[in-house]
Amino acid sequence: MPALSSRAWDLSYWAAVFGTAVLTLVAVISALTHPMLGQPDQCMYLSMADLLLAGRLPYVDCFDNNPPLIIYLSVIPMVVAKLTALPATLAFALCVHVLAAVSAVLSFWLLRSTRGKVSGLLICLSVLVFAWFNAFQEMDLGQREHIFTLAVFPYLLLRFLRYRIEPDLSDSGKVGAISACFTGLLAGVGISLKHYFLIIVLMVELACFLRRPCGRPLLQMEVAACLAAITLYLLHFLFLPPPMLSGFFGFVLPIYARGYDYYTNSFLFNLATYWRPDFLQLGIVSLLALFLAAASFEITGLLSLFLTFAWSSALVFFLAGQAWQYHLLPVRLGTCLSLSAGAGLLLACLLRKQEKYFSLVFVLVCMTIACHSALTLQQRLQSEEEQHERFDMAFLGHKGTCFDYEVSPAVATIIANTRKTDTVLFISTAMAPGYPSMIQTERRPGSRFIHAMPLVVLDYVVTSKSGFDRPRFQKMEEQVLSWYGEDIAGFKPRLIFIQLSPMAGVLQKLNFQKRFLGAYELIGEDFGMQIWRRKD
Amino acid sequence: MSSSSVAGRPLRQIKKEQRPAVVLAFVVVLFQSAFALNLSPTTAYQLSAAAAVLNGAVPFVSFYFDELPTQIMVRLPEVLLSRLWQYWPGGNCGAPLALSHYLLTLVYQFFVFAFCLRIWRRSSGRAGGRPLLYLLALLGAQLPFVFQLGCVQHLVFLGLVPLVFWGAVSESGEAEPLSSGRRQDFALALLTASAAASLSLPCLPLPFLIVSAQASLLARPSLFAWGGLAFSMVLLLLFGGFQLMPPSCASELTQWILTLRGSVYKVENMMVFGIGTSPDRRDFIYCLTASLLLAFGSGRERLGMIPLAVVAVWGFLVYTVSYSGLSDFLVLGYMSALVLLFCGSFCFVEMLTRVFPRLFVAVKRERRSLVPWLVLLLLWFGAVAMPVRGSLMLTSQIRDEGAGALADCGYIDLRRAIEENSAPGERVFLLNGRLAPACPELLLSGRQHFSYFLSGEPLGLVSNLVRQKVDGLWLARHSQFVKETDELLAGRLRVDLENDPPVCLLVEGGEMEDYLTDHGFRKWLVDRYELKGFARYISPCLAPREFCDWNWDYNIYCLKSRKGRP
Repeated sequence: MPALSSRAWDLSYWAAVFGTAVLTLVAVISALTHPMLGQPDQCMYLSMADLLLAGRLPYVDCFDNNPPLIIYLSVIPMVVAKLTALPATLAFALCVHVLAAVSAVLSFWLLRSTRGKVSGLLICLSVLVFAWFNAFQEMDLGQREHIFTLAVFPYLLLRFLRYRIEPDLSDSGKVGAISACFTGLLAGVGISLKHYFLIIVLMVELACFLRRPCGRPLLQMEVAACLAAITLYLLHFLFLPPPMLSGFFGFVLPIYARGYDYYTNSFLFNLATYWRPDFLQLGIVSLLALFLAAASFEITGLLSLFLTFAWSSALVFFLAGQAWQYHLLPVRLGTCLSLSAGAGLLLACLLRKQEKYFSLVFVLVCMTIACHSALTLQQRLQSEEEQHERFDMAFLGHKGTCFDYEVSPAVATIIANTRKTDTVLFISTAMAPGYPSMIQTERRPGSRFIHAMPLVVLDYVVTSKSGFDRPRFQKMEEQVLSWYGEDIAGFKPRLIFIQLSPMAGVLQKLNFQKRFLGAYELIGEDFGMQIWRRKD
Repeated sequence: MSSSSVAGRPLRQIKKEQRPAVVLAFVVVLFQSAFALNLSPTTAYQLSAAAAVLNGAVPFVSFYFDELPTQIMVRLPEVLLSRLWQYWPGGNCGAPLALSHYLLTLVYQFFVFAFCLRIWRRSSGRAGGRPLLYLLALLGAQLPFVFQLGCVQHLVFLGLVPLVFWGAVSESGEAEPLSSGRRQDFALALLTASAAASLSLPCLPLPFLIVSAQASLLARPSLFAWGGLAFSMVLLLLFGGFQLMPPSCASELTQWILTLRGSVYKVENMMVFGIGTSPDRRDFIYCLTASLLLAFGSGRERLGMIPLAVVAVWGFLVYTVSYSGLSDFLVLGYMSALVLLFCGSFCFVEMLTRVFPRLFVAVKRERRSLVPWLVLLLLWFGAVAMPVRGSLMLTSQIRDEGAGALADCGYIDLRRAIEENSAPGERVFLLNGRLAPACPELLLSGRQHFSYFLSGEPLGLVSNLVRQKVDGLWLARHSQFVKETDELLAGRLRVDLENDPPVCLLVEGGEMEDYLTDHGFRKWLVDRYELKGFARYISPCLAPREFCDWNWDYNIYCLKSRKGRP
């Protein structure tokens, strides 16, 4: 590794910081110029948060199949939206980008302790690449996997610094207790989003430990803070209202435990169809890393950390068994970071005797990434201006305009047939188009079931499974139907959208339309849905 | 150097050190022998091709074949050996082929093992207990793959083992130049690896990759040159072989077979969606992840672990690209990952006993060195459990379904359907659009295969392209390529069916029944055959009965009059 003077190091460090700042700005501008852009799952969480703020209890007055932490976190952008009169989708995007910025700033703050070390600069490069990865997230922006990576990234870097795996990090400076504590807390929140994430963090910890087996790094502040955050979250279940506990553990969990495979695919499908390029990239990057490790094992600590992150994320992806794109996000990030770490290593090795050139090339790389990203955004905005119409957000009660494609197709129907105080009901196995249109139109759901996944999974369990307590699940199915009936009678949703396939068939079989839609007329079919409107 | 000592150590001492490996080798052989009467789908496919060649058929012309001809060549001795058994009573069934395959694979394993022992004896002796650990790990990694014994990837893995082992027992600071014995071993190991790699196109670069990694690890650039030379020689030989091929073979290959085969890499097949339509081998990913974690952390053992990790990752890439789903295609990656897992776990636990002795306060100090061996033993038991579990699940499922609702509805197991509706040696055609279960069910039941189609896989491949309305341009051919290939294959099927009708035709409902209807076979079928019943391929989709399909039920058609055959 080249030796670096403090001046060269500082120049490179601040170039990485500047590049990250530019990327954050790119992300924020992208969000501001697309204020209505929202994704189905994320908008569904926002809706749950909105209902929570309105006093409705999750798993009692509104049902989702996920644990509650994501609902709690989604309260933050909803509060921001209410306070600032921004569209909820924009508030959400901005909150995620703020989290990304906090994560990057925290990472750079931690890396101050590596001043003068080339390994520290290579980690700075990884932070820049991390910021680049986040800046162009759109479909998966704010998904639980994304929030996990944002929350846990500084923690992983700190663990790497604690173990001091790279040779020239052996005498790194200390990290302050407050920053370590904050890092740990943030990571704990991220890990608590899904139990699988703990596997990823533990495997990365093991990878660091293998390289440098010593117990002292395990006794650091951030580990305690992380464990404390996870423990607090688990303990909070004890203080939840009993109906909420029984709704989650007694109703939602059993349904999804039994019917989990409704949404899963075969191993081969998950590996070798849509996501085959991702796993091929992971394999090729791993091969390159192995050859680098063969050439010089000692300096590949960072590379091995990111590859372990990528592979353990792949393990979790296959363990979960579902082929959703956002499940793959940590794998993609890990592959990206591994590639950047490997490229940085090669650069450092090639220029090991040329401190001046190393610093120059480093700065150039940072500037190139930043400028290219800014240019990409500029070109995108330009082409969107040429290809898309503008939509006046006054129709949705907001100032300004957005591009027409940002607005969900169901919005026009909802606006045309309902008022702001009306409720709307989507009965669909998919989130879209119900979400984001419900959030964009600021309508509340006309049932405690904001989507129909519980019903369709129950129907699947009752009709397709064997060797279990069928009467119990049949009773649950009947309960869900009767709740739908109560809600339709109580909330009187102005519009009811029923997914054509498979939902319409499932409901027909359960006599849903006959039992509960007497007061409704079918006004049309669009975007794969039957549209029922209340007659009165 | 006297014959009674090698590298300054007495031969007797070396042999004593090798004893545990020899004992485990016997245990592995015994375990494998319990599963000797099985054949994996790809092995059965290659054996069928080899049998056809020995009967005078020409590959690619007389029968559809879409792999390297070396895969047929390697099976010829097995088929020849099996023909000796036919003179025995009851020899006209599938057991002789399976046994011959098992015996010759055993011989190959013995050669590899003996070669590794020789490499060990000629090593510098400063590797400590490493050679024993690697050999035990290599042997232990054979245990879960008894149903894929001797498949191409297994043969490739075995062929690479001496080369990997040679590097694993080397020393970074080993004297230059190497002793003549060590050079000889390297050359022979490289030759063995290259010969094994020539069995599979995706595996060709592996010896070169391994040697490149070793060149970096051992700081011996000359190894890199040798690896490049071996790779180039193999490529030249294969290319030369292709040039010497009869023009009719080359023409079939280049005009449509290679393109059809290559379509797998470009066009997805909806048949593998959904739970249960292909073997659930997530355990491969879990093992690979754990083993790579250990490999990247293995500072002291990187001489062996990094080349193994290269093989494991390459095997993963091959499996991902092959889109086959059968376990035959993950043997290379999985076996390497298992060896890594065994070695890495051993080293990890051994390190814990050294660095954190307080964790083992309950274990006496003099016995702490046994703790890593205990962990290794537990891992081996886990490895043994996999094929045992698969066998038990299958046996129980066949028993339960055979006696239950399935039997009440008139369904029987596919193997039973074959055996009840035909005699050994008679022609049977099992049409399901995939390699399995025609391979190996027909071979194991001792029935003759159909002439052009050793399995229905090419029909399944072309059906997928037709169903998805793939334009030939997408496959880098002319626009009508798919339509023409579909007509070509349908024509060949028609010729085979009409010239020599099989006594029993098992057609999978769904895709293949539609194929027969769409291509005008329905009337011919109804005229010559009667529907006798229905069969199901009862399987938990684990070895020894893997499949990659929706596993529709089979319609059993029997020839109305056996006198109708010429």
